[in-house]
Amino acid sequence: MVYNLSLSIFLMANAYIDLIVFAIVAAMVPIGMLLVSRLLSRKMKRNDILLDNYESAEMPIGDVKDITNDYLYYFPIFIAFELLIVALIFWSFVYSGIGIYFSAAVMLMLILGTIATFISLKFMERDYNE
Amino acid sequence: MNSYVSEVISNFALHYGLNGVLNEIATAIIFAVLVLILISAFDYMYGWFERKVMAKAQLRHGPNVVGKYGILQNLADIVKLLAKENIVPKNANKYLFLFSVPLMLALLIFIEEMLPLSPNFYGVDLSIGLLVVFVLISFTPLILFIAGWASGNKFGSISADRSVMMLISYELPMFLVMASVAVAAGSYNLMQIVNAQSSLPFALLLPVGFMVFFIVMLAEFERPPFDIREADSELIAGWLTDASSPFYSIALFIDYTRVLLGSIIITLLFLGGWIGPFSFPFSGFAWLIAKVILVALFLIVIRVTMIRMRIDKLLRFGWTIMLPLAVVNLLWAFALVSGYLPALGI
Repeated sequence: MVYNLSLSIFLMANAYIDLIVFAIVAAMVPIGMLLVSRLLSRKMKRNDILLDNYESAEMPIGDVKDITNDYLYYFPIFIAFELLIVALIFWSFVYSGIGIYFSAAVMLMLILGTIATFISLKFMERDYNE
Repeated sequence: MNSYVSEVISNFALHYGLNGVLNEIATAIIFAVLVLILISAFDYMYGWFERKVMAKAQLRHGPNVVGKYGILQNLADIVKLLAKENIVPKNANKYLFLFSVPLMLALLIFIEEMLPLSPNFYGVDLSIGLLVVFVLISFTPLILFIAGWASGNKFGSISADRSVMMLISYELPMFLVMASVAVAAGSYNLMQIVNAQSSLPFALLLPVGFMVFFIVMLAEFERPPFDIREADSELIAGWLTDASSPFYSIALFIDYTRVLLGSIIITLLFLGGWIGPFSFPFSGFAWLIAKVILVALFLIVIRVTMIRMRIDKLLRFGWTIMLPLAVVNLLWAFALVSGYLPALGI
């Protein structure tokens, strides 16, 4: 048992070492590209036009945070359904061990959730457009 | 790490007396570099080929000046882009803007390094590999949101807004299909998912799931007709509007790396991964790459033949068509594994 435990800890540590190395190598790519760019490029003289945002060659006006969203009514349904998905992911780990009736109940919950989504989407769309 | 690389390194380590951790680090570095070479080669060739095919489809010549058939055009473009200065606009949130685009590329490469490429060539064999990959993938729209918003540009902000809209339209079907694959394979381990397809690929076992997943991957990786975030005819370049040349070169890298990542995931989950009709030396890797290339070529065909979807239509499509189909697919997968469909002999 002790041997198995130490073996599993070693294997887990190995996986972490691999993941850390992969993350470092992955990070080196964009960093390397930017370093090469820094070496190859020449620094231009700064001015207002160079540093302004590009807005189809017009001078930028207003605030970027002014933008509104027309589809906010999707968000509450998304959050509710996201919770259902989390439950489903847990279920997919254990479905074979919890028995057919419990799994069927989870599936029923999923179907009811989808129907509820359709109904709430219809209502929210109507309320939002009024 | 059980791979060809591991074997070579172990022999090397034994010869020079390296200890376990150093051996593991050396193996991981070599594996990561090999995957990086694969990604770079694919990105380069795919970028060139896509430009050629798109040009043919639009009755243009495409790249044909630099190198034979214009094959060195991408190299010339990369050198040109990297030889320019990286400028941060004064309205931008400097640190978020500088951090987001490189982070996106690093994340995609990191995810690819976690995917198994053959039974003997993989980086890590995680028991929840599928879940880890999808959780990491679901961060990409949020990074693009930050990139667009932090640029301080109106087109970038609209793009960021669309990024979130896209996320809420296709993320749920994506996770539902992922759960159905795990249920059908009886595991979240990517190796076991591929091995579970030895008699029948999941594309045939879960056809609805395959269709939904393919569409979701197009949306996730911003491929037409779901290139709503960039939408060059509406938003200039969306989240890339204020990206300078070096960032633009990283964005091109991101674009093609996403194609490779999406194609590998589709191949692993639905097309049997490295399983082929007959075997030969390195056949596992060869079959996987052949399938990946076929999927990637199909993406070019979709790109040249489809028009961009409107954001409200995408939302409606995601919630009223994709979500119910994903639910039906999960029910189908559950019925299959719980033995309700013995007539199929599955």
